[in-house]
Amino acid sequence: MGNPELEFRTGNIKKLSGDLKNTVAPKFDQAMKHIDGDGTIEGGDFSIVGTVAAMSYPIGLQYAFQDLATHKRQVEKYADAVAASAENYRKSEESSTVKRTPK
Amino acid sequence: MSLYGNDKMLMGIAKAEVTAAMPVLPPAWIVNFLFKLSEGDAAKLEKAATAWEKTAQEISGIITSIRDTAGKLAKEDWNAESRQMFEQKVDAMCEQLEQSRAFCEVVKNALLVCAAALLAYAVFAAAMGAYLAVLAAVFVAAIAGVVTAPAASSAMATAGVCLKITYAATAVLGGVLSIAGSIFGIHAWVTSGRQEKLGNTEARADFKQAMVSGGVTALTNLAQNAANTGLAYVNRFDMPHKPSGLPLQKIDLDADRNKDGTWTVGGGGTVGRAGSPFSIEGGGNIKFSRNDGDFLFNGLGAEGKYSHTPPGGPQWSAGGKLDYSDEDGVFQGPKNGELSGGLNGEWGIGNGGAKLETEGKKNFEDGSWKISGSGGGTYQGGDVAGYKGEYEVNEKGEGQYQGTFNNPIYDILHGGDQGKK
Repeated sequence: MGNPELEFRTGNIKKLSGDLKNTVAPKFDQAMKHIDGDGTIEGGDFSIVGTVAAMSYPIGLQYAFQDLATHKRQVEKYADAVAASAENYRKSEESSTVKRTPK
Repeated sequence: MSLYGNDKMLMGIAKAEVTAAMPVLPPAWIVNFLFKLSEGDAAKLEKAATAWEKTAQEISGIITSIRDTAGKLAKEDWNAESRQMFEQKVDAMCEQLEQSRAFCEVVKNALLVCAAALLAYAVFAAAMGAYLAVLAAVFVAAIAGVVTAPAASSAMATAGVCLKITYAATAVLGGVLSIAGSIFGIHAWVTSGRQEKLGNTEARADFKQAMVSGGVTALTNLAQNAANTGLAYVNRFDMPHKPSGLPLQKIDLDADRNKDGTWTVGGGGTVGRAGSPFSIEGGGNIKFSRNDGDFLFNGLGAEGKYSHTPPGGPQWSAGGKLDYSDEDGVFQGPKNGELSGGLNGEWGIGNGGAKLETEGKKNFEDGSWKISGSGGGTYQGGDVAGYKGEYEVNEKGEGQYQGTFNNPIYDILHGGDQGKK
């Protein structure tokens, strides 16, 4: 059943998808961890004359959280898309094989 | 601990000196007020800068690992049109992440500029405080007839000049902090624009969301600083032997959102006069998040500290804190939370002192725990040297001990984070 070479290829593509999802995506959480801990600065730490900084900083921090969360989601989305196209690839190759050998 | 840890000690010296000058030189009152406005925490800003640097490095690692993962697949494995599309997306993603990394670097540098400005101001304040104290001594001596009487009026006039200089220095500090500080928000906007051009369709929405969540924290910080400005002004005449103003010294308001969307909202205050033999700091917070519109209670924390500071005698303080947090809701969800608590104490005579701190943390989800203790010497409330030990048991039950020796004096002499073991 199936073409062994084809199985190998779809297997490799699926491995790429799995690596993106299981190895690359969790690294975003790791990256956020640093600024999540020590990156939280209290309003008074910039001093009172530095209130502008104390008001601007939280926006920068939240942007970094949003941005990294979005990229994490996109990496996971790409991983799913890759897995889906591997599946399509396998199906189309199979159907073309089936056509050549009528049952 | 590095160079930046010295700003607290310097500001402590500056305030003590200027308070000493206050009874005789009225301009010192406003200098005292300006000093209170300019007191930040350079060490914490530097610590935050290090965190941004680490995040920037992690993002570099992510870019490399995306390229490696995508590049591992041979051409013949996947030779369809969809592969080209995928590779274009991967390239765009890496370019966008390069912007994210650059953003972290910009934030890191702006934080270091702010920390350096606060440290420079603290050095100035200590020198100005010392000068005003000397000036006050000249003034007193002139009144007493030890030196010629005209010296009194010239001392008063000079104190007026000192006030102008301090006012200008404070304005400069405010300017530097405002310019460097604006970068955080402005550069987030710039980065989101660059990301959008590179194909990140969600970049602008991310910035808008950051404005909404970050705006809450920003307004809380504004409210806290505005209230503390008022308190610093009301209490500007407050002196050890002539208390005035309100017993409330400063307030603390927090509304911080972490990466998982949990808010920590709390308030606290410091009660005690400059002359009073005691002061009390207290505060509490609750943690909550919104999960698909549902309100989730994530825990709470409280802390307090009592300081006993009689004139002349030995001074001491003791405090404690307790905190419980649970990311999927307290008594809800499958996961267990984390409990942490700590005790701290300080003792001193005159300017010097000693400090002890212990802290424990237990994670009920994975069973890991950590205890740490630190002790060291202080001068005018700033850390001078100390040792910190940490014992950690991870979720697999493996223990590890780590000890660090801090010596800021060594750091100043050798210009860096030395002395670590």
